[in-house]
Amino acid sequence: MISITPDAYCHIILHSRKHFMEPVTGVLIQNENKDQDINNTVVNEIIPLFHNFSSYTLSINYDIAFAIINVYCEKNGKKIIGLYHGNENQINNAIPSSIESVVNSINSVNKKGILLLLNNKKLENFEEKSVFDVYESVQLKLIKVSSDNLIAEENSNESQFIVENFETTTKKLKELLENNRFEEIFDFEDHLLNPEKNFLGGKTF
Amino acid sequence: MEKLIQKLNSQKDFNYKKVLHFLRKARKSKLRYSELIIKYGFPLIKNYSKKIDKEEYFEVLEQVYLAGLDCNKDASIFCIQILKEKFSTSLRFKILYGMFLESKGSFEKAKNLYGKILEKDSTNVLPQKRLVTIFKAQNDIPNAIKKLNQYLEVYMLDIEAWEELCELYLQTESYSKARFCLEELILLNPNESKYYDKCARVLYTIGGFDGLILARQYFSHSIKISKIVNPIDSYLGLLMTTNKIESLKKKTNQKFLELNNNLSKFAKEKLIETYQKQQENETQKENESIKTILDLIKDEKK
Repeated sequence: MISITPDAYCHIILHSRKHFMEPVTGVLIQNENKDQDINNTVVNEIIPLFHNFSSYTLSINYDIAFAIINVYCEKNGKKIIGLYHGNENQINNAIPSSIESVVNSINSVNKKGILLLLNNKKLENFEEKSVFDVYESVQLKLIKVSSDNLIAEENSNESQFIVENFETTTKKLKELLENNRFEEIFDFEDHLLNPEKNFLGGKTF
Repeated sequence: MEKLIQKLNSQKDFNYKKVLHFLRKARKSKLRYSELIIKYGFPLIKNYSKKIDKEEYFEVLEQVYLAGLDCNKDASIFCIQILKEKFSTSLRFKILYGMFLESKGSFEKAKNLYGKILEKDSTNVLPQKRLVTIFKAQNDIPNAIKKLNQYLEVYMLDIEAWEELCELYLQTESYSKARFCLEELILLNPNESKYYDKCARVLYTIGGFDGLILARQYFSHSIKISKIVNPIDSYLGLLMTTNKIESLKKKTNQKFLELNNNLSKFAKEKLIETYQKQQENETQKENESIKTILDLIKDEKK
């Protein structure tokens, strides 16, 4: 089972909303816990990385970002467990091969590789169900673990992907969008242009 | 521009002169401030149209219309109706109308319209570019690339088109072709550091020892000619490339290794200098990104 915390969920959508004309990519982070059930994966935090058109296709951008994020994770007892990505084009829900290979590499290093692919069509109905197509890296291939008709509900036996407290989260998200809170979201590329813009440390909404 | 936006956002009453000033700046900068243009420009043309100089009024109308296509349908409908009354027969209006059709998803109608414009005026650049955009919107990247290549055979000095073609090649992960586009861009504009930086990134992605050496040269040149005082992204790129070259441990002469070490040292020192300066600022003491990057670089220095 894969679940995502409300703050991480909102953070991804606000990142994509801020750059609604461009593709967005970021990293999924889990808190390390020795007692953790290995079958349960929780996305506790996300780190937004790119919003420029071709940044996600260039390996050097990941090498730099991951070198920094690894230091951050080591310091704070966290680990990288995957990526999220949203394509530029509304009708394009394909996984770019560069994204696929990065998720597979994360899997080979950290024994977990998840991709949350933002489904642009689902974003229109974000109040009804989760906006992601969820994939997991298995033997260097990405396998879909949530189908389109899955409603993200807590404690649902059918769901393999859950947004924690889905109803209250979407209410909160609606409020955040209405109040233009996406303007507070900075990613790695924003930081490179202005180091004052902090992209690490998660967000609490 | 950021200061101007802050001023606009903090104004209590609607000041049409300030809004006009912002719209002028936005037009000049060619940056896409769609939401802000709608927020301030739409009320301006609705309530203050008589206060705007006639020539500028239509420029503002077009600007608000284009921003409306991005994020406010009502605004774009309002503007296109006024533009239609005045310019319904002009080619420029027809292209604007074609964009309206695109925004509604009526791609075939838009294609027909652009086709007709090109029949009348085959040298008109805009409908040709719009056709590329339609292919992109339909996620038909191969045809967008084909159309853009045809266009560039005639208009080979069009920087914007080369940039677009480069992005499309990167999207399809055709890195060697993207590199070709970037080299064309460097030839067209040899003083623009961002092309060297991007070309270095593409070369790094293509990989191989020779590619990395070239990437290192491009990063170095990008830093040398950059108009930004401290181009952090290029410093980080140079550092990463020199590290990768070192990790390959290829047998080369001493002079070569020395150069690699010196460039690596230079990038690290510049990054430390830049970030430490940032940390001196009281408001940035707790900036997690600055702290982490400093930790990374200092750790590497050991």
